Amino acid sequence: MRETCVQVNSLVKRYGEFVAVDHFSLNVGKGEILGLLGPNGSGKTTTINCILALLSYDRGSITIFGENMTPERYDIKRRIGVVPQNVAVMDSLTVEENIDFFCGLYVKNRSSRRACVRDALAFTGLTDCRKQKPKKLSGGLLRRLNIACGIAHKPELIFFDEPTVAVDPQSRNAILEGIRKMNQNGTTIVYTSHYMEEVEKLCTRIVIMDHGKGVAEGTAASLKAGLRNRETIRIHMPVRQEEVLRAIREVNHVYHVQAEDEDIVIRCDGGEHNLVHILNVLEEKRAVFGRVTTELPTLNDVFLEITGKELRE
Amino acid sequence: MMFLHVFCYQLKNLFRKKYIIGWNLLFPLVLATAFYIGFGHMVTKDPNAFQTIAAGYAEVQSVSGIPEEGTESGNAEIFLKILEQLQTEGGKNMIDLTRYHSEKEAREALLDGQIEGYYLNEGGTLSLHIREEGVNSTILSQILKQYRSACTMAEQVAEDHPSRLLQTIAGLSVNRRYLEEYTPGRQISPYLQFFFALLAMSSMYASWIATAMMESMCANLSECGKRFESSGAGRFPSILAGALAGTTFQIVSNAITVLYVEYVLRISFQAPFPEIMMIMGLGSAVGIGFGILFGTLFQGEALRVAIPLTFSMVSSFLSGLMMGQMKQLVENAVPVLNRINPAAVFTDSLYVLASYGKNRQYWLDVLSMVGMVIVTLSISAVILRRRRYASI
Repeated sequence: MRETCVQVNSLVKRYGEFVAVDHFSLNVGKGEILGLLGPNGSGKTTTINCILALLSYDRGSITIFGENMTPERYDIKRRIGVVPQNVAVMDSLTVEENIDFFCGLYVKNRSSRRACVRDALAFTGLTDCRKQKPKKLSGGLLRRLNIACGIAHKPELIFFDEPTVAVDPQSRNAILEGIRKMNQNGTTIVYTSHYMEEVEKLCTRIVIMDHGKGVAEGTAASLKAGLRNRETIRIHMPVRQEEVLRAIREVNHVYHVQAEDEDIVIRCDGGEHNLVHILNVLEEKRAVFGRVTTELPTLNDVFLEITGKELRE
Repeated sequence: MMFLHVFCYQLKNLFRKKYIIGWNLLFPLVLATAFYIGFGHMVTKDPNAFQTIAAGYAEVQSVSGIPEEGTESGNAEIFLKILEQLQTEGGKNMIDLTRYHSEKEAREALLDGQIEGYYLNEGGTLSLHIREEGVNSTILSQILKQYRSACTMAEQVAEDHPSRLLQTIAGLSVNRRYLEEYTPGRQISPYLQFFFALLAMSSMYASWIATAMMESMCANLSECGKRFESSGAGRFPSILAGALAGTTFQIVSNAITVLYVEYVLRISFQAPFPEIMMIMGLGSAVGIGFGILFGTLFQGEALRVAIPLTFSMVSSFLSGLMMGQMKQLVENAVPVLNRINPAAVFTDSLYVLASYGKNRQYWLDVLSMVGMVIVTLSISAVILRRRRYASI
């Protein structure tokens, strides 16, 4: 069994009557990439802020590296890195100075710090723009700077809070690749996002949150294995014929047929060659249809099945 | 090490923020220039012209006829030469010296009002006799004090470096410029009050610096603050380092304002630069202290800008920035306000320093400012201690 890095037990955080985190528990093992997935407002960032002892909470307990986490535990904080959701850098300092400044809050030795800054610049691909001020950077580079400031001191545990929001696909891939490399070097990572594809690709284990509660936990494969939905087929059909829909519902393994705008969405709970069977029905009924796509289940389906709503809502 | 790291970067950060440079450095210079254009000539002309002081000098032998031990023994002649120098130096007379053959003659002249005071050389022991306390008697007293101070130095030289004694004796003098400009007890132009209030405003602007600094260090105020508070840097050392950086920045800014007013606008603050700077440093620390308190108490972004700005402007206004008699009006109506208004205490300390020197009131003002720094920082520390935010 893996050594536990972070342990959250029955955490409750209220803002007046509103319960932001509701008896939420979490275990993060050493060396894993734990994905905290949930829609906006599901309590991910609040949970992270409680873990970092930035926010007070109403009930529960939090330990990091086996020790109780409090605002004064600077010894624990020195072993942690944080990449906040919004870019947190000093506008008047250059890229290099920003990294050096935040790294200096953890690393006292000047020569060690210089090496850390150099590594962070190289790691995030910011070496060429190290003399620039943040205002001159593009959104993607700014995000990379945000990451560099949080990882330069080479922490054992890093919290990434939605690091790829508003980032172009190229920078996003670079960021995800970097996180993977860090993990390969032994860093434990807690990654929060509402982008299920990212979490699915990156994380070794996933916890899904909704309304402050943990609603599911496991690997992407194990979460999807528990789903009824095994295949989703989408057919563009501007002119809808009820007779056709009825016929599709009769196909083996089809358990749900739903009209969405000009598409019909068909969900199957198993079987093989479902698409072929459905296309045969369409041909028999001489239905007029356009584009046809088929999708394997995603974490969105997991979320949909558990909560009855889309993850992106 | 961490303290120094935070201090250096906060200082760098402040010197690069354009709005801080604008409000804390350039605005006081612009306002000083506006004051100078408006009524600068009233300050330079008015009561500052140095008046010649009628003084006397008399010698009497001691009973034994031998100079007393431990007195200015024998060097009183040098003192006489210095007095003669002060009489003739630079084309304008600082003192109008009359020599008397006996103390009786000198005393009669003093009582007749012909002279403001006389120096008595009694067997080598110098003393000053005056008719009444006042500005001129203070200047005469300062001359004697400076001479004695120079003699002490000469004695030290005789002991340590006898070969340089002659050179030192030849160089014994009284700093005329110092006496002319900084002798306490002189009436200063009421218009100088505006410049004192300007310096107060400049110092209170430090509160703005402190709230900006707090913003970057508190998790409830900014994203940078979240990063800062989740780091391994201790909260109090970091805030103290930032406060010190803010105070340093403000002292530099104030020094530039003082030098600009003194040497470019040529309006004297009537006190030595180091002493003015000591008050400026203290005033800056007061501004920083209040700024930290505001940053601790108020979370809204608008409040964090509005409160220090309002504090600086209102406190400076009440200390006479826009209306010279304001402080007096406050003193008559609500005297306690002048005791607790940091800008009023600040201007008072400068006024007292320029007018009367470091008297009891001056030290009371200094202590008040030290107290304000301690109180604001202590309240902030109590609030910040173990603070975990309910919401950020």
